[in-house]
Amino acid sequence: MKTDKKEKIVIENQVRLSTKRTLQISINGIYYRLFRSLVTVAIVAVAVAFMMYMLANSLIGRAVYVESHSNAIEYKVYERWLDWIGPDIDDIDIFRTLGSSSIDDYRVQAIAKWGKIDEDTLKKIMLSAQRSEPYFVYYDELSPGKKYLMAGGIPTGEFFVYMADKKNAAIFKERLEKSGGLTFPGSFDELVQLSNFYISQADIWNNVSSGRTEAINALKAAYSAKSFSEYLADPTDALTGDFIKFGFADSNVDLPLIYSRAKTAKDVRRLNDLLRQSNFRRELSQEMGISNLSLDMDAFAKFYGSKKNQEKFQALVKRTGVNFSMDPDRIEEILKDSQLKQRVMEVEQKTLAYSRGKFGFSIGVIWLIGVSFIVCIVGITNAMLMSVMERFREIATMKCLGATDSLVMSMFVFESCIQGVVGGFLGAILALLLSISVAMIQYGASVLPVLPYDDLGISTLIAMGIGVVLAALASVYPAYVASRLAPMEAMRLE
Amino acid sequence: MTNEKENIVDSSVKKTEEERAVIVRTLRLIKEYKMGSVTTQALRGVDMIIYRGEMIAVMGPSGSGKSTFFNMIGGLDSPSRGRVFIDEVDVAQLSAVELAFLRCHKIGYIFQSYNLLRYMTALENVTAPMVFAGVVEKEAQERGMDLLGLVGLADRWHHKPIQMSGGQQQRVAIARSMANNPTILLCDEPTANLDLKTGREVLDVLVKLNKERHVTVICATHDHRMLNICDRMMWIRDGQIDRIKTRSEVNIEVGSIDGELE
Ligand SMILES: Nc1ncnc2c1ncn2[C@@H]1O[C@H](COP(=O)(O)OP(=O)(O)OP(=O)(O)O)[C@@H](O)[C@H]1O
Ligand SMILES: [Mg+2]
Repeated sequence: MKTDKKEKIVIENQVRLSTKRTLQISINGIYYRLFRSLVTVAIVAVAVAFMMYMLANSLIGRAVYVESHSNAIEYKVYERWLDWIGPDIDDIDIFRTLGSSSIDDYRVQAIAKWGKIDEDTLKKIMLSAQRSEPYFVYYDELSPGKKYLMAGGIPTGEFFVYMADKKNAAIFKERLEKSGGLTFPGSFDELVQLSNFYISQADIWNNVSSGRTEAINALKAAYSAKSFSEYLADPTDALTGDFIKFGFADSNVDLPLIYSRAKTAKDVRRLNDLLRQSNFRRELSQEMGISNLSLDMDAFAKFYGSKKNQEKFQALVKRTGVNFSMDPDRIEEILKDSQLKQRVMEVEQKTLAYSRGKFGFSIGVIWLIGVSFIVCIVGITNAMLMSVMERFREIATMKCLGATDSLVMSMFVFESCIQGVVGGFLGAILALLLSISVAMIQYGASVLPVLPYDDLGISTLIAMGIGVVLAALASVYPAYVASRLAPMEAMRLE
Repeated sequence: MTNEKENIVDSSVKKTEEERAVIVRTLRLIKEYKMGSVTTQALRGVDMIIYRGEMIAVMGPSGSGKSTFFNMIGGLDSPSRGRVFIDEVDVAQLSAVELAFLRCHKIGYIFQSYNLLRYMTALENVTAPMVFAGVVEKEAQERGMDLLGLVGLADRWHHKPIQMSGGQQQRVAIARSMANNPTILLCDEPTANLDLKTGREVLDVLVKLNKERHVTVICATHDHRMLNICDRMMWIRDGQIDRIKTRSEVNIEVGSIDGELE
């Protein structure tokens, strides 16, 4: 090993290590500092997971909403139609019906007839009603606090009457200018103009109201022998004909669906009545092995799931001699249906926040996603900055030992990319699994086929990408600065 | 090496010192540290010549500028003004990759606080400069083991720095500094953190390297024992050279010197 120290010092360029060798050194570096690297990876993973969870949760929420909403419409057709022949329709409902239906809709035609509206006026009113609809939706979606501040908390039905008053409108305008939140759907002036138009048509609303009341009374008079829902559950052609005659349906309305829902509702009611009879209730709860108090439709549906229990139930009906007869399969069917209905309505309510506003999400959800995004950025940047800055001394030492600037840089780029990829991947996958599990707990296992797998896949990639890019960016800059400093300057940075 | 760099050599000095080859030369070396509005002059024009193969101690009170001097001639920090020549090469003229080559192959560094890479074993620390030099792994490990043997730590090759005593760590650092067979060994208070016995061991290794391998050893130090070992001593005071003495001169006036060491 002995060398001649008399030789001249000749300075060359330091060798450039191959990419493979550099990668090897970086991986060794991660391995040497395995625990610290794992901590960094974990922080990146948590940050990415947080963001990914929020994103996945919202996407799943929206998909579930879309599904449950379309299921709920079937139930709502019946309820909306019941409202239409009921006493609770007011002027604003009429106005909004005109704004959301086409001119050949049977309701529009009936309204025109009741209100004695000629065709031109009808068209004019419908146009205004259409333009008004976004304002109703806007007011509907305001938080109760905002409603109170801006319009004294009046219900949506009175919104236009309220706004037609000059003083109220002025207050509303002032508050609107001050508040952020939901974006106003049009101009304030248009809102005032539409409100005044609505008020100016008061005569027509009166006509419609009395015409409609007359029609309802005439219908009720013709079918007064039993409760109206009984007729609906057991309809005749004459009934259908009368509905059309009085303006409560036309041949396009889904009357068969309405009748079948009415029949289900009636059967559910009958079953409910049976379960409420105190004698039978006592016997049944004993049979089911639960307390008298906790016997409800849900518990009964669970009990009725097995053939053996169905037989027990029928035997009990016979033994107690209650006045009840229904096909066992029909009981099963309506139990399933009523549970499904409850479930669909519940899920639709739960996921309402994922259904509206920008990007299809409500303001609150967008805030959550935004905040989680910021948390992700800050978390990753901080983790990477820390892991580079605590190593300035190491960088300085390596430079003393002959590491080139580019080797130091490459080491950090490789290392942080590896950490970013691993952390991003773990975090995204973890969040994905978590959000799917949570969805299954919240909405039931039947949610699986409804999940938006494409969207989830894309957002997994996005979350991972953000993890990698942020990790690389946040460590490359300080490493770049430190690697270009003289070793002693770098050491002083600590 | 380019001709340009050879031209920078100051020929007058070279002629007068012809009998002994110069390895490090500084010309009116000045280093200022700026901290806000305050400027500290750590070195105020140091002219110094160090010869090949000698062992020289740089002494002086705390804050006199020893470490600063050490960093300047080692290419670890850049001077504010003045020049450093390492065997006719102007350090300021070197590119980043050339500087890396200089640090890797020509100079070995030993610090007061060892500066080992704490995640690596003794052997990996010793072979790190070889890895940076592109030496293949097998050869690097063989040479690394030889060097650990040289400092008497061959059986500790797989130990991490925290598993070793200060003296052992410093000896690993010495082995590492010798990794690519440098011409110059720069030591900044190599024994300051060590007790008498381990300090002695470290000094013995340095002497051995100087005598057997003809490495030029430049040592910033407070250690009295250096007086008996080094060929020359240089005292710095307030960033300027106070005086330079050979060992024989020092040993004659040994009585008066003690007081000036600290
Ligand atoms: N990074 C720095 N910033 C500002 N001033 C510095 C810096 N490093 C050193 N100094 C100043 O430069 C002068 C010389 O410092 P240096 O570290 O070279 O002294 P030293 O002789 O090595 O002392 P010691 O024996 O304590 O190690 C001191 O006054 C010190 O305060
Ligand atoms: Mg010092």
